[in-house]
This record gives sequence, C-alpha cells and structure tokens, in this order.
Amino acid sequence: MTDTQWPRFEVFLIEEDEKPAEHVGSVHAPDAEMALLNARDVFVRRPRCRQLWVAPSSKVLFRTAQELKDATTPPGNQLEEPQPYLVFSKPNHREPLTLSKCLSAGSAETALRSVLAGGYGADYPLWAIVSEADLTRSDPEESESFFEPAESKQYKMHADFPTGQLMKEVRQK
Amino acid sequence: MTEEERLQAFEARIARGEKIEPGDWMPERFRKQLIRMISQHAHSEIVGMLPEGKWITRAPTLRRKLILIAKVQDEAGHGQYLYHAAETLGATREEMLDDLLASRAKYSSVFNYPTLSWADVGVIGWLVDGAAIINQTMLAKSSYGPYARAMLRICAEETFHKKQGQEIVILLSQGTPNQKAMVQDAINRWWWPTLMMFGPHDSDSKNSPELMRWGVKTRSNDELRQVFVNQMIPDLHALGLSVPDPKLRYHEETGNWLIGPIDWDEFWRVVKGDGPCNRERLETRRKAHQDGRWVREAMAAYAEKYEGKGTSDRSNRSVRSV
Amino acid sequence: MTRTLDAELKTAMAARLLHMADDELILAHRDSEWTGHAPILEEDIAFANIAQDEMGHGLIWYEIRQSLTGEDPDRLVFFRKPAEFRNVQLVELPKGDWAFSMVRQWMFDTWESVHLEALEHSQFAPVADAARKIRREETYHLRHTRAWVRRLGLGTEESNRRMQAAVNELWPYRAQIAIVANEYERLVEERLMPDLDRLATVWGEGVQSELTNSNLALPESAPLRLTRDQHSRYFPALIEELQQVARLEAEARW
Repeated sequence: MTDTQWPRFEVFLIEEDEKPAEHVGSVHAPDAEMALLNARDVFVRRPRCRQLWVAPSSKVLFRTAQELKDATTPPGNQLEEPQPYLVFSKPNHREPLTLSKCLSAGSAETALRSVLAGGYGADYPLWAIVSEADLTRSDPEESESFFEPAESKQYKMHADFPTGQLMKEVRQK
Repeated sequence: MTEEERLQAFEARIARGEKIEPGDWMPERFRKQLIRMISQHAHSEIVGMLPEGKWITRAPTLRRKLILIAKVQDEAGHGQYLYHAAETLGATREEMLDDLLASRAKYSSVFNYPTLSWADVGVIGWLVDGAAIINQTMLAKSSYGPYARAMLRICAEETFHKKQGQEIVILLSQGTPNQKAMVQDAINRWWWPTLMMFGPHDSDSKNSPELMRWGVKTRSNDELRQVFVNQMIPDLHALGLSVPDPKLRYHEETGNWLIGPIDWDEFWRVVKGDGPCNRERLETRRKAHQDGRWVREAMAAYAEKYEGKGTSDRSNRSVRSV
Repeated sequence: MTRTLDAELKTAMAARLLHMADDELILAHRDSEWTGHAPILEEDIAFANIAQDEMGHGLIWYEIRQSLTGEDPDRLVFFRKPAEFRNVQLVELPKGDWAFSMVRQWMFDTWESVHLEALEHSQFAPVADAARKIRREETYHLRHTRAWVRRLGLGTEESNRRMQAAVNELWPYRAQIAIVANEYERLVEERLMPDLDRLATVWGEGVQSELTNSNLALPESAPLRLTRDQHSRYFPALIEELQQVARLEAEARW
C-alpha cells in the first residue's frame, strides 16, 4: 500500500450564531468523523466557534471568476435528481468565502449557474459549491464539549502576557 | 490568448492588487515558486516543533508547560494551514513530506541549531518568532489568496508566541545570576541565526526580483532585517542584555542600529544541510513518519471497510452514548 | 450549598485531590512526549490538545487542594521526591507505540467519564463545579480516543495485533485507580467523594463492550494490587526530567 496522508476534507466554520458559515481551510482525515474531530483541533484552538462542517475535498467544487469567464463546459446533467446544494461566495479580496445561498439543483455546476443567473456575482473572485449530502456537521448537542474549552484557555491568548508593563517596570528601576 | 498575453494579464491583475485564487491561470514558474516557498515555510513550522518540543517535559512551572504545549501545537497548526495553501496549487502532502524526509526540500535554517537551555525557549519565542512576525506580516499581503489567508491566521497566533518568549527573557534577565547568565548565553547563540532568517543580502538574493514583481514579496530582506534589529536592540539593552556583535553601532541620521558583517559561509553551510542538528531533526521526522505508517494504513483500511455502509460511528448513535 | 470541612475531612480531601491531580499531571507529561512525533500532523495537534487539557485538569485539582492546605501547586509538582507522588502506575508507563498510548488514554478517558459524573454530585461545591467543567473537555477526549480504539481495533491485522498487545499490557493496571486510603471512607459517607468500587464495576462493564466491538479481547490476567505510593521503575527518570530546570534555582521566578 502506498503511504498515505489520508484524503482531504474542506472545513467550514460558523463563528457566531448570526454569522454565515465560512470556508477556513482543510484537514486530512481517513473519514468524515475523524475529519470533524481534526477540524476542531486544528481550527478551534481559540475562540470562537459555534458550528463546524466538513466535506470531502473531492466533493467540493471551487470556481474562480476567471474560470467562469473562460468556461466552455456545458451545465451539468439536467436529468439528475435535484438535491440541496450550498453555495459559498467571496464577494471581493477582503471578505471571506461564506455561505450565500442554499438551493435545489441537479449538480454543483447548475447550482452555481442558477445563482449567477440572478444577475450578480460574475466578478466575485471565488465560489465554492457542495451538496448537503456530502456535508458532515458538528452535533449541536455536543457544542459544549466541542467549542467551550477553547474559550477558557487564557494562557494561549497574547493578552495574558503583560510584556509592555514588565518592560516599563524594568526601565523605571 | 497567447501565453505572452496571458502573462501580461496575470501581471496586470497583481499590479491592480488583485489576489490570484486556485483555478486562476498562472505562469508555471509562479506555481512552482509558490509551492517551493509555501512548502518550505510549512516544513519550517514542522521541524521547528522539535527544538522547543523537547523542553515541554522540563518546563519549570505548570503555566510554562501549558504555554509551551500550546505554542508547539500552534506550530503544527501553522504547518497544517501552509500545507493546505500549497495543496491548492496542486502539490500533495505525500510529495511534500517525501521531499522533506529525503532531504530534497529546504526549511528555515534557524531550526538547525540546538536548544541547550530553558532560556533558549524564551529567546526563540522573542527573537525567532519576532523575526517571523515581521516576515509574515509582509507575506499576509501576498498576491496568492490561500497563502495570504494562511499568513493572516498565523500572524494572529504568532503574537502570543513572541510575548510568551519575551516574558521568559524579561524574568530571566531580572532573575538570579545563573538565570541572567543562562539567557545571555542563549542570546549569544541565537542572535546571528535569527538575523540570517531574513535571507541573504538583497544583492545576493536571486529569487527576490521575480517574487517582488509577482507580489509575493513586497519588501526586501535587508529592509525587514533592519526593522527587526531596530525593534530588538533598545529592549535588549534595557534588560541589561547584549548581542554578540562588536561592530554594532547606532547611526544618528537614520535612527538605525547598524550590525556588523554576517557570516554567510556559516549560513550556506547550514542551509545545505551541515548545521549542528540538520541530520538529527530530519532523522526524528523520518522515524515518526515510519513508525506511524501502520497507523495511517489502519485508519485508511477502516474507512474503506466501514464508511458509507451505515456502520460508522457517526450513524450509530448508540455506540457514542455508551 | 457546600459543606465546610472539619480538620479530618480536610486532610482526607487534600489527600484524594493529590491523587487526582498527580494522575492528570503525569498523564499529561506522557501525552506531551508525542508532540512532534505523532503518526500524522493532525494527531500532533490533537494529542497536544489532550495533553493541555489534562495538565489544565491537574492544575484545577492542585488549586482546590491549595485552598485547603495552602500548598502551592508548582512547589508540589517540582519539589516533591518521586516517592511522594500519588499517581497510579497506568499513567506513568512510558508512551510505547501509538496503540499503547491510545489504549492508555482511552482507559483513562472512560474512567473519567464515570468518575466525573459521580464527582458532579459532591457536596463540596469546588469539586462539583470543577467536575462539571472538566467533564466538558473529557467528553471530547472520549469521542476522540473511542473513535481511534475502534478504528485501530478493526483496521488491519497489524493494528489489531498492536492494540491487543497494548490492552494485554495495560489491563492489569486498572485496579489501582479504585484503591483508596482508609480516610477516604469518611469522604464517601459525607457524600463528598464517590464510592470508587462501584464506579470501577460500571467502568469495567462499559469498556468490555467497547473492546469487543473493536475486535479486542480482555485478558484473563489478574489485576495488579498496587497502592498509590508504589511507583514503577520508570518513575524516577520521569520525575528527574520533570523537575530538572525548576530545581536549578529553587526560589527563582521562571
């Protein structure tokens, strides 16, 4: 067996209840359950997080504005059974890639095209689309054990180190 | 569009301050340079876990233990973010790790020096991570989206690294004679390797012009090195500490602290793999990788056998609630 | 509503808190040895999280004990002799291979899930409150180690073999965790601490089914009859390393 670093899973994080889910990176994991745990350990070492989602990287479609402009690929198979898709968009270079629309479509490509048909977004730098079926979400019942511990680890927040004050005291001596 | 037209459009995008995202057209050289740079950076974080990691079990207070475990954990996390950024360019972690362990890939030479005392932990935090912050703050403006975003995330966490180190150095410098001697000795050993982290002098840096044009580097090595020196010297002197540079002097007109000549022979020797700890650090990583092979295979085997068949623990709640 | 403790109860409580704190400290020490050496980067991060959590739990128990005896946690940790530590041997054994450390951590996490639930009912508020907080983190650990035990148990022939070897070696050490001093009885009577024999039975039954589901067998070996003042031959080196820097300057600030 060739040595493996396990498949990749894209990670989406909800910082606060009112904020949309944001794509934050990826983790390597052998399966979805481990991906969720790894995502928590990698991305929630410090506040703040309310929910975590993972999806296999192979199942997430990324598209840039340039790719959309250059695209000659036909839309996805229209005969496919419509499924719920989540569409993430990055409106400009400063803002993050966040969830902007949930809709039913036959494929990730057609989901994206439906959104673009709304008349906006052609110049958005980046899009990501994933089907609900491929997403694994953290269990709200486990939020406390998943996310609360990060809030109380003061020793790893830079505000816990009064170096300015200490230098001042030394200079005054 | 011809290749030449594509290249011009690409450079125009960068000149406009746009970010290149994965999937955008980019010159093959840009992709290769970035993979090299980002993976080198990632490898540095991973190898960098070792010199400090070995002091976790000997950290002298419970709080210092917690801090050091958290710091080394952060470094693993930073490596993780960076490997991800390189992966968006088409590199795989299997290949990147293979290159590192086969000594084909480079990493920051500063991590090829030994940590000989507890004071080294403080000095690495304040000096080495302090230098890294200066470099990373610049890279956070990088033209490649995923790299810039990884840098922002890293910068946010790096301040903690620098401050915890500074706190240690302050306490030691104001402590017992033994502690003072320990921290001065650590500074004597880490000062020049830290300055070398900023890379060769601008005149000797062959990759820099291209990286500047492509918005990956926005400030020169010497510029950043000077920022660092100006930040550190007044604070070190205030603590009664010195740096091992007999030629160090303050230049009134510019307000710069001017350093003596850097020993570039030493730098290139260490970069090429002949530093005190190169072999040892890579051997440690190789061993961890080899020892872990059965683990990675077992986890992959389980996923193949059980995932998607409804027998995994995520779909079987009763297993979890035992 | 919290009980105030008379002198005898204070002594007994302080002794028990030392058991619990030392368990966490030494386990955290062994866990932290994996940092930079784990089989994959994600596990360097995950195990470092577990090590931090356990160390934090130790600090919590040391601090409650400090409120009773005035003894500073750092002084206890860095200036006691090996014979004065009160952790179980399960946590001090060298880290071994990944299977060994995973089984050991899982044994501790499954014990804690039973133990902490009981501690939440303590009539001594600081202990009940601490247990509630610690349990949040332990719930997460258990999810992690449980997932690993299952996967490594069922993964490949090699992983199963290594896991079985780890279970065989560690299982005899389980009994020590429920062995208590005579003074502990009064803590149980006053509902300040739980009956550990009862907990140990519940624990044993729980882990049995988990192991079976992971294709692992419980060894027939008899439990080791050890008291908490008895340490393995590995312990002096562990403590020497732990205390090395702190002992350089006994009164210094670090």
